[in-house]
Amino acid sequence: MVAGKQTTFLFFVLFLATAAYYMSRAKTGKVPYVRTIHGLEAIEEAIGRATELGKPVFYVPGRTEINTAGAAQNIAGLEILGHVAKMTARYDTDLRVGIAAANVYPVAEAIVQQSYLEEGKPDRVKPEMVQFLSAEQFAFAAACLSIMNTEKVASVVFVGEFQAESMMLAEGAAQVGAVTIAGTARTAQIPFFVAACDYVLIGEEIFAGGAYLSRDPVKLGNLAAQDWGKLAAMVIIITGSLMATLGNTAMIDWLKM
Amino acid sequence: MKKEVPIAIGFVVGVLILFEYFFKAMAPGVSDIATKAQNWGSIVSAFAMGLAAANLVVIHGRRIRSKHPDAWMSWILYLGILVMVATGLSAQESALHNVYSFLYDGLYLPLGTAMFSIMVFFIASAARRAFRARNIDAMFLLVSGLLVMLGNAPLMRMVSPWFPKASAWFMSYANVAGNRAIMIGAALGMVLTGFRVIVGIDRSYFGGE
Repeated sequence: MVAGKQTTFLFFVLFLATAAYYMSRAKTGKVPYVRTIHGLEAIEEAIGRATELGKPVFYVPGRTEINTAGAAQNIAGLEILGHVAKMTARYDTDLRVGIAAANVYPVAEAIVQQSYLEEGKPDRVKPEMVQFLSAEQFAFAAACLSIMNTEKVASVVFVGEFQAESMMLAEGAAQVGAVTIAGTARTAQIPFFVAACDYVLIGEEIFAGGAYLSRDPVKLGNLAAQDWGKLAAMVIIITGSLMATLGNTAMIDWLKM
Repeated sequence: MKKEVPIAIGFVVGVLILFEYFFKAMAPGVSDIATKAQNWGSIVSAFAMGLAAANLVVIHGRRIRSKHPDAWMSWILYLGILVMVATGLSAQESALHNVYSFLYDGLYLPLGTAMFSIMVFFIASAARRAFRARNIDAMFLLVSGLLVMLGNAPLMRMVSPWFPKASAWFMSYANVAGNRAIMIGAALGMVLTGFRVIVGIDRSYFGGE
């Protein structure tokens, strides 16, 4: 094994084993309790508002490519897009999806088409619904601002990996009076979303989105494993800090193995 | 088959990349295979650029046909695509390539920089709304934000040495602790999302549940 990755591998295996255990447990009906995530609860309310006003919902599933380190965030964003598309199909609300990464475009288009098909409204899908805007960061931000302003969108959902454009998107949405729901796991962008948006999904909450909205017991089982992972991290941090304070570096040495 | 084949490919490649990450010392040849798999991923995803470009052409074509009030912008987009592709494919050092360099360096990059520069106004506008002590959480945000800003202002360093110290404390302890908590939670979420995709439990990216 690669030096310095033994402890990581041990945690990785234990973590996946815990996830597999909770998923099989959830299949038998023992679904774990999941706290209310206000940002996800607000999605239906936001789409309801757009429906009442007869204005579109604007969705951006992150800005980065799907084959980068931000892939997991992109998948989380696309997962939530499926639920948003189903709701817009159900309520006959117009949907606009802005795409910045070329390899996210066909996936997002397939998700929207499938969602409308599942709601029995495949004829409602229009080419304008999922639109590739630009791969260039600020050209994409400008295009999003243009859509939000010209189409007077009522609700905006941004979930995925964002970079410096996050502030422009969030504040631009607030300025047109849209209900804004945003989520990312990029810690540098979370403060921008917190400052400008009505609801924010912070870090891990975006990965819980798919499970929370679909209520799929297997995916909900995953969330329990995530909580055990966090508990283990807390125990290691507190024990390691205390040991290091007392001059014992055994924990640090073990983590570096 | 439409779903099973991509899931099987995803499983094989996912396990290969994980194996390479943890065990490349035991099987030296695996790194080359993993690199090739990743390169193939980039090649396959490059085809998506064609689809994305087709989407742009179709949508703007519809706008022109429907005589949309902003159809003139769609014409500019078409012109931009044609000019950049024609000049970009020309030979280096040719007059056409100079046009490409001029448009890229003299127009495209400054426009991007101009967009970036106006972000300060978005930040100021968002800060005006965020820095209102509506509740206890917002009050903490207001106080910590003010202390960090004042601590970074040269004038306040002259007023009292405590301003930069308070700012440094917030950035080094409160901010780092919060950031790390979010990062740990997000990292665990990423691992599980990857796991679900690799083993084919999560198929939501195909559409549907």
